[in-house]
Amino acid sequence: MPWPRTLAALLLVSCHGSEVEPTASATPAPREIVRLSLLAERSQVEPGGEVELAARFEIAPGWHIYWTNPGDSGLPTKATFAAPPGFALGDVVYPGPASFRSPGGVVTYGYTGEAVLFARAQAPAAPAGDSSSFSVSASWLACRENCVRGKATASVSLPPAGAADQRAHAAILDRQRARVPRPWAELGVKPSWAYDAGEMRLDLDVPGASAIELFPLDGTGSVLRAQSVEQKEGRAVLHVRFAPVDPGHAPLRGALRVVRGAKIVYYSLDFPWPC
Amino acid sequence: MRCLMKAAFLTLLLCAPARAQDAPAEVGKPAPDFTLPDTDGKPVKLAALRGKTVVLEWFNPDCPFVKHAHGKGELLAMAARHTKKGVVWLAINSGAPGKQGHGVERNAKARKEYALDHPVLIDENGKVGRAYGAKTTPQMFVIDAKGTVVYAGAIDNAPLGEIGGGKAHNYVEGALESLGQGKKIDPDKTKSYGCSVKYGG
Repeated sequence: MPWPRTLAALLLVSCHGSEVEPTASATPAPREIVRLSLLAERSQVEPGGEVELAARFEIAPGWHIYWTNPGDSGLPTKATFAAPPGFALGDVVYPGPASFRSPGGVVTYGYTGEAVLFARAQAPAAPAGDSSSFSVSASWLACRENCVRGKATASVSLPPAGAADQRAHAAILDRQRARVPRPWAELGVKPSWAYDAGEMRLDLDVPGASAIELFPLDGTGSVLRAQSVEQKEGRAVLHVRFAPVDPGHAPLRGALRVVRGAKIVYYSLDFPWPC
Repeated sequence: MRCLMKAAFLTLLLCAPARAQDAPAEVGKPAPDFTLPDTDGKPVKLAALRGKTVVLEWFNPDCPFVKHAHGKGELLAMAARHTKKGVVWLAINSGAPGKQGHGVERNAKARKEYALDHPVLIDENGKVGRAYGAKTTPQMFVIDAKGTVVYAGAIDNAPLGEIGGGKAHNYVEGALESLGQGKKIDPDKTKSYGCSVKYGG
């Protein structure tokens, strides 16, 4: 009994070109940690229509994979989508992450349980062929305490328009799309800046919020020193401290997670540093 | 008005004292001194190496990033090459007891596996790692002959051999080359990548 299992594990590893830690007995094969599938939101391809593609990562309990900015350690989860000739593919969209803290002040950003990276495919006016085949090639680093590299591909094929076009995988996609950062303007909060003791301080006062967290994108992460939340009557104020930035530094970019009761909404931050 | 504030702010900056707590080992500042045992129990003291260029490499032999870097990546034979030119190369393992890649026995064995001539220093309580703000393995620091940190960050721009666009760049090689030629090190700070350092709680 142990033999076939070991053999299966080895086969999986070689098929996926992944690296497993030497304590293989304690570390599951990469395929058992993260499963990749490709979902299409429509049941068929309409001429000139749009199909939302979703690379879905199902992550085993206790493990996490990373956001586009992994934070202090880890590696970004990456997905490269492919569509038939004539289709236009949009940018890859990452849902807002959670943060993970380990000893030594190591803070990382990513996903537990499930994550979906979205990309939109715009069909040509006259899609060719009997079906349209889409694929995704993804790579990630899955960590519990230790880490395992994973890579996989997945594909999905859609028929041309004919039957009634239907939405597919609505529950999964709605759940995950709710995590995609909304435009900043929707939050309706004005950033308040101060300079103090060689630092730039940003305050975001959000009415109705019980918790707020800033997830910095790369250029912003390198100057983020600390953040804390102050609870006030019916609101929360996020205090963020940044190291001084040089003129010409990339704008402040990231995702802001706002918790209001049971509702969590992410907002996209992208604005210039003051002055 | 806001620009005036900025001017005042910049003045403040120039006069601001170093923030030891946020950025413990900073480029341009003295490297925090330490004494740590190697895998034979022999103590190595950083301050005693003054007059030489020193490279610190945060190390965990079982981290996939370290395995890649020493297996087929940029760190393969790199230390040996520079040690021959008089550079002192020190690997430091800040893993706590019971964590991945920790301890004298595992690291003594790893030196053979990776054919390392340079020592692996054991920092079980993570004190030196924390003093340097080491967060990943690998994570690199280059210290000049005067004991000043002149480079801090990643080994290169290619995690697990994958370049995220642009040209491959071994930052540590660049830093050592520039240092040898008396040129400005650019970049002198990068974001390191890799496994988290397995500190104790």
